[in-house]
Amino acid sequence: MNMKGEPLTILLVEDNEDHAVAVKRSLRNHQVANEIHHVIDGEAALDYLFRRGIYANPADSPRPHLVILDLRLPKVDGLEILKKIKETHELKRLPVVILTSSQAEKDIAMAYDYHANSYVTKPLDFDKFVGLMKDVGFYWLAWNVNPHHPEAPDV
Amino acid sequence: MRAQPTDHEQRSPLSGAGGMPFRSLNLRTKMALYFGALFAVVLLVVSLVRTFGLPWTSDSGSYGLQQALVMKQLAFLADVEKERLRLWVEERKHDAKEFAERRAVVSSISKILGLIRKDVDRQGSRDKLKAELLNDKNGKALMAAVKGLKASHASYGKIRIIDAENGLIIASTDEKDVGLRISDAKLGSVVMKPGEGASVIVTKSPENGRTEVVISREIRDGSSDGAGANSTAFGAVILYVDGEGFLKSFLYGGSKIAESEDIILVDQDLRILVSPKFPPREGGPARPLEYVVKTEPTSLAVQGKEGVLISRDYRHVPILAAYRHIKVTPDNIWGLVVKVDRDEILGPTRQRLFYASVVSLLGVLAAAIMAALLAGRIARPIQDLRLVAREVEAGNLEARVTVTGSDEVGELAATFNSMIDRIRHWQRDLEEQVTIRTSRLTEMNEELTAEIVERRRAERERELLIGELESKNAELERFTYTVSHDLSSPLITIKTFSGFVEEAFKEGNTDDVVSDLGRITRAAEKMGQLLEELLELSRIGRLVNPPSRLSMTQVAEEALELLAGAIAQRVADVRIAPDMPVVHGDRARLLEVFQNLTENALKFTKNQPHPKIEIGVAEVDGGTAFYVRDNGQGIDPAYQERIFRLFDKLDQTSEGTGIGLAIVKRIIEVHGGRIWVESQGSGYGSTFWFTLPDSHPTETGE
Repeated sequence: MNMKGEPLTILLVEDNEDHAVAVKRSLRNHQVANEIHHVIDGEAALDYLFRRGIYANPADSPRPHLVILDLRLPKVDGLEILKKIKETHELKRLPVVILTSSQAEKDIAMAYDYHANSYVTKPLDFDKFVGLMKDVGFYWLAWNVNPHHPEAPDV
Repeated sequence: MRAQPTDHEQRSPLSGAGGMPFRSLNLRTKMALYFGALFAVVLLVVSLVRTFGLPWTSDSGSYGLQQALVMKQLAFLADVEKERLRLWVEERKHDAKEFAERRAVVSSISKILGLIRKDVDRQGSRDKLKAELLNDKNGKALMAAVKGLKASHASYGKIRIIDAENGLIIASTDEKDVGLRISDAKLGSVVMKPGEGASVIVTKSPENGRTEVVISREIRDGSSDGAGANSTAFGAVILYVDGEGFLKSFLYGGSKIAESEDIILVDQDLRILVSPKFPPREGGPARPLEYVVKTEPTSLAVQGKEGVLISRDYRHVPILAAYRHIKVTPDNIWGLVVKVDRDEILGPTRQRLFYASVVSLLGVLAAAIMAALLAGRIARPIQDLRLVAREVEAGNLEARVTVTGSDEVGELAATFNSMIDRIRHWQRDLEEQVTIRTSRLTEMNEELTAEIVERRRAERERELLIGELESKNAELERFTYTVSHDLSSPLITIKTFSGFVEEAFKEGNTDDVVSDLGRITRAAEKMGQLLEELLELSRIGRLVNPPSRLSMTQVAEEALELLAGAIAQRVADVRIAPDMPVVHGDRARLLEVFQNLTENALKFTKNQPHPKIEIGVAEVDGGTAFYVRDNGQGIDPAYQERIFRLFDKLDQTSEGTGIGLAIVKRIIEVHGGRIWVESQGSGYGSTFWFTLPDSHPTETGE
């Protein structure tokens, strides 16, 4: 819960089921977040964020306080999702942490060019993996002051 | 280059040659001409000097000498004539005086005068008086006296004695005259005033109009040696000399200097006393006492001067003259001029000079003409040479000079010809070289062009290769990335869930342990599968089966046999075109291609109740392309490129690692072909196309 009493929500975009389970379990064990919404590909992530398709109802797609985004995704690439988020008026203040196994310089540079808020790689070590998840959760949800999201312009 | 100096020497007189032949002469001819002209000038000067003398010196030349000589002769002649005339006049005056002073004469006259007086008083007739006078003793004596005087000198025409008082002729050489009276006027002019001595006048005869020199002298009574003033003049003696008849012949008695020689005698009034030799310019006869000669020498003479001069006479003809004066009586001066025509005297000399000038002029002219002709003769070959030189200059190297003679010009012509020969030789050499060089250049040019073409081709090839290399590089990079990512993914899973399992056991909460271990196992299996497929992929192109002739239809059928189970399970309608061509290729790999593509099609059609798969061949872009078509979910055009990437799966939930299409692409590429997918999008099915250009279809299978 944050100071306003809202539940702290994370949107996890991860195609690997096992990894998603591991992330969710790590976060849950340390009780950082109240809700973790997991989508397995880029298309689903965009649907969630733009409240389309099965996420058209805002109740099913609460605005997340943090997006944890994998880069290598089927259908729509993670960088593409990042770009869309940062280009969109009402989404651009949303903190996006890139969580990936890629340490390619190109990916890192591109991510920051698209205004990623943070870039972390998945550690191979269990303790480090769990610790990283805890730290990311705490930092972005507890320490970090969340912005007020601008309303979507009337269409 | 021995020819050059000769050429230069010979050309110099020609330099700047215009049309003038003189200019085109050689030095020798020019010199000859110059000296000829000089000789002519010298000749002219010498003859001029000889004729006219040297200026500012005493040498007056032949002309001057001739002139001086004539002047001397004239002066001498004039002196002689003057002296003769003077002496003659003096003689006549003396004759008159002597006669007048004769006692016998004086007494006779005085006696006769008485007779006459008586007669005059009687008013008697002339005939009677005449008879008396002729019969008188004294009269007879006087007649005899005058006749005697006349006989004493040839010049006398007639002599009269007159009575001073009445002008009556007392006695005369002509008896008819006796008793006649001389007119008063006549008497006045004839008879001198007392004491003045004899008078000499020239007058016209009243009887016949002829000029007469009249010398008269008074005859006085008493002794003559007494004072003249005391005695009275009672008579006079008058001597007549015929002017034309005597005086003229007397004057011309001297030696001839020239044909034109003449003596002009004038009285004080410049009237001629004798007629001149030549008629005056204005025509008509020049009558004595009427014609006035007012010329320089006559004027000078009557002024009492004497000398010689060059002037013009009454005819306006140039003359050389000597002039003298003769004092006939104290108050009467005659002028004497002896003259010759200048032209007669100096004419021949002038003529000679003129002829000399003409001859030297003619000589110069002749020399000029000869020189011109000579120059023409010498210049013609040079002109020819010049013309030929110009022709050569204009580019005609075939032109040659006609060599005539062996003189310098001939030598020059020969030298010139050989020069042209040499130039022509050089030119030919040059042309040959140019031809050779040009052909070499052309060759090189062609080589160069070919090289450029080759280079361009190589450049294109290089660019293609670079492009290929770049794409390979990118692929390699992607491959490495993919491998590291896709291999690390299951490793992360294994490590993380191992950690959870360990933790679970520590905490004693083993609810998730079984599922976690399952995850670990699957991840390990997937890793093994990935490694195996990567190995497989790396084998393609590295381990190649020898290519063989194979029917694509048969290969496709074989592939379907391997998938028979899956096909049967899906109840899929799979058809193979029976007429697919025979190709050369790796049978096992091409089999893999059909197998993978069919497998893929089966995956995509899993939501399709009536899956249809069609394998065939068609013409695409002028080439043969094989295809595997399905009626499955289709592929969004945005992803059509990505599906051939390694481990790139569009559908995470679908089976497989995502390496199948990568392997197919690799096999096709190893065969030199191309693979692509066509799909209208989701729900429209998809068609995978591939070409095998290295495997030319040779025949159609069953």
